[in-house]
Amino acid sequence: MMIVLGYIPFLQPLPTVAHWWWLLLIPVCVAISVTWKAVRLETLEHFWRESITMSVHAVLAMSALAAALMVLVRLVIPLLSMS
Amino acid sequence: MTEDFQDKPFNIGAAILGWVLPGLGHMKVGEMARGRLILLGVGGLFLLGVLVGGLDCVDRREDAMWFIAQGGTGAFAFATDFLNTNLLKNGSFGELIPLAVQNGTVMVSSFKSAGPANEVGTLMCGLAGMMNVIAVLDVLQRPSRGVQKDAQANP
Repeated sequence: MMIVLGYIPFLQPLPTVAHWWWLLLIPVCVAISVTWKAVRLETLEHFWRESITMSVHAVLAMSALAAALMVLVRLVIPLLSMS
Repeated sequence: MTEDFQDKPFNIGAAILGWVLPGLGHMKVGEMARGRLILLGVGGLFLLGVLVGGLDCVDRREDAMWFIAQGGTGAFAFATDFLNTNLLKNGSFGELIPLAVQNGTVMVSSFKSAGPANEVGTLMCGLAGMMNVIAVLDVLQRPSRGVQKDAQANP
């Protein structure tokens, strides 16, 4: 609690980030999508729809990859070592 | 194909501006909205990285390899490194505390980041730099807005 009260934004690292760092995947995907679509789209007419779609795709793909790796590490590899 | 290559502009001035401040190159060629969005994406990601990892996540001397990627954001990266050196590393903010290393002891800032905060912050700033390199490469051969309108009017 004392660490959080004494926190100075931008000078010090964000406290407690070790517990939820993986949630930062979402703003990272949004920022990358915004930049990528700003560069790639011919017109900016549907910019936000395209950016949000790309962000959602990226987050879902990374989540699926994480789930697949968890299955591999926690289920498949222990079975291999037992056999 | 050779003609296509010759027709493309080579906006070295806009590319340099785009490196110095993300989005500024696009603004120079008349793409104001595109420039603002690049500034939002690259600048937002970089600032979020510094918010998570603190000033210490951009360090030209200690994390030189990471700084190559982070340096893509131009003024953002160099300003953050300058502030890190002049505010944290000389003890202006926080205090200098001894840290045992292999060859003895070094003095480091009590604001020095470590663990996931440092890793994620450093990564975010590096990603911001690489995204800005893409934007700079884009503006290098992007026709200016006036030229585009002329081409549409006189095909």
